[in-house]
Amino acid sequence: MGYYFISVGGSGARVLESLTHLCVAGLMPNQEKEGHLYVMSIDPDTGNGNLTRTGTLLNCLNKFQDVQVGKGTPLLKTPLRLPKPFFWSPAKLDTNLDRVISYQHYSEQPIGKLYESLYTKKERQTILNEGFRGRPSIGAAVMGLKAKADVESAFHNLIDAVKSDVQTNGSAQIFLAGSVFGGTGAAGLPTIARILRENRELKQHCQEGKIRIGGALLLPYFSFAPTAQQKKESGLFASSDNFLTNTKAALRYYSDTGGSGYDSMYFVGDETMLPMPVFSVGAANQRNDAHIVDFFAAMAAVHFYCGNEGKHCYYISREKDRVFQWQDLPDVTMYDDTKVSVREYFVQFTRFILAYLHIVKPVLPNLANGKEPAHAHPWYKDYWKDKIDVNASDVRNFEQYAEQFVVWLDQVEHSAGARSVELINPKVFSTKNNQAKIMPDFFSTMDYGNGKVNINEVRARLARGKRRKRSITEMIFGSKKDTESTEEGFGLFLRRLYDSCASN
Amino acid sequence: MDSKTETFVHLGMAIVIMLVISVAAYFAGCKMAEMFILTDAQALGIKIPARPDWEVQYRYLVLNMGIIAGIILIIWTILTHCVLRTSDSAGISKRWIWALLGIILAVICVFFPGIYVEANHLSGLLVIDNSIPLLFLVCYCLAGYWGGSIFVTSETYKYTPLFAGFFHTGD
Repeated sequence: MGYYFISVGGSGARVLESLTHLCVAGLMPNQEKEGHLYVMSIDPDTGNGNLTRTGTLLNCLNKFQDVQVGKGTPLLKTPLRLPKPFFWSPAKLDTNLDRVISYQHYSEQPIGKLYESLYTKKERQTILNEGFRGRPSIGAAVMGLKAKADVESAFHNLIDAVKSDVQTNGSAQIFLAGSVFGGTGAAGLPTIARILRENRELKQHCQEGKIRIGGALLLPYFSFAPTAQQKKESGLFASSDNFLTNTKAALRYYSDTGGSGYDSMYFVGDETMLPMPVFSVGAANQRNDAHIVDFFAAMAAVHFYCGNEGKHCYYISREKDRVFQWQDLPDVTMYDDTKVSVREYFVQFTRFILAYLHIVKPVLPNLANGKEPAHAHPWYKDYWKDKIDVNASDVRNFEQYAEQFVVWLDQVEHSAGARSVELINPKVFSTKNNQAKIMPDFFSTMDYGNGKVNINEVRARLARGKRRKRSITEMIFGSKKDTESTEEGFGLFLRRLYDSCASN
Repeated sequence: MDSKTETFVHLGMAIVIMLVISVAAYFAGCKMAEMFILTDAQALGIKIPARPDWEVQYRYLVLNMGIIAGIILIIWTILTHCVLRTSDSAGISKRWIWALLGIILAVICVFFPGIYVEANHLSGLLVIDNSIPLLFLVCYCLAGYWGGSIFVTSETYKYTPLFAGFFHTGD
């Protein structure tokens, strides 16, 4: 079973970031190593800060995900497939709408005049390097044209992968995420779903139900307030004043078109719009913090991948008005119909990441160069010494991923404005300059009183591992390797640490 | 095995280890006495107790020494299981505590027999005076404390006793 995720625009990229963490934590429904998550992004603004951040995260994961953590663990059970490039920009560099649709060829014809009446001169001539500037009408035109024309693009690679997957495994599930109130997402969500469904090679499979298409449509959940100077300098830009109007129009469109090509649709928004501290039209400055809405949208993707049909209308509500907590999230149904608690998996994964950053990362360089005594760190003697290169790319990439995870979590925890997000106790960690700092004294309170595992308990469990006394023959002839075990090297260590971080 | 059970098992092991070591020290001492006690005592002209009396007095010495060594090993076991904690990432080396307890035990092994004899007016007991402290050092300090600590130290500090790595493996 292949899971395909297409992020559309900056908001979609943030959902992809959240989904990536859920995937590493083992919350995808597939059997171990039986499925994969194929990801791609659609954004004309390829320098978009949100996309860059997600791209860095995906690259890190892609580099260390092949470590052998063995069987019987949710950790890294779903391989990520990251095509190169993983993003598709429908608009080439320094181009505008006029150039995309070759306006000069039609300017004197009736169709050219119709075009002129549909778009203002400013809309037609605005350079699209920084996206569609909150104008879905521009985006829909560009994507509709380019999705069919760019046959070498990441988008067509995805279509080929889906086709191949259906032929091999019999089914594929495609999920799209983006905002309906901005430019790229609002333009891309209906257009891309329709193009996929009408694609010559996929159409039959879609009709037979072998390919399912779902989407998380993000409703307004943030706002920004450009200064008069910024408004003047930015030209066309998405204005949060129009978000609700745009959303109303988009929802009416989906209602009128019967879902516009989707088998399942998830609408995720927030009743309060979090003000963004920095206004940006696009590019690297468009680097918004992760938000609880992104997390919910990623959970929607997981819900869809679990095979939940779109015949029902679900309504997610919160138990407490001012608090987001685990009870608000549904369980995940795995491939064998077992229910898995998001809380259990996610808390263990977070404990694992924080324990690595606290127990392991700070002392590794000193242990490797002998400045720190190895006997003080049993895990080093057991799993690392003479076995793992502390400078190996797997190690470096995992550490970078771990840091990014904590930064993401910190942002999610502080994204609810005056309300609170009570998933992981924020007292346990903090971030400064994208570096995580762990507060060990609060470690046991991570899950708000459930599974009180402190840092010493993790150390003890890690030291215990599969520890056994060496037999006399082992002392003489060396270690006997467990032939059943598939974990090795860095993967073995990660597995032991992850297992040591269980709540009970 | 959870950590609480492990603590009790290790405490039990510490007691058993010192019991076995004490039995060994007793029989080793008796064997040594068999070889040297008469000849040395006669040569030095010291009045010695009859052999059965000597063995009774030596048994009490070994018993006292065993209790002291056992207490020190139990202290180390309790320290590593229940007391020593570190939350920071700077490592958990407590080897100096292990070494300090070992040195204290070594000093006791050397001086305790003399003090015990003086206190109980048992001068004849120590006719093989240099041999008994040496025997106690080997039995209680090396085999009992050093060897024992390798097996009763908590997992978190399992490599703290010197050469413990030779007896443990992690994978």
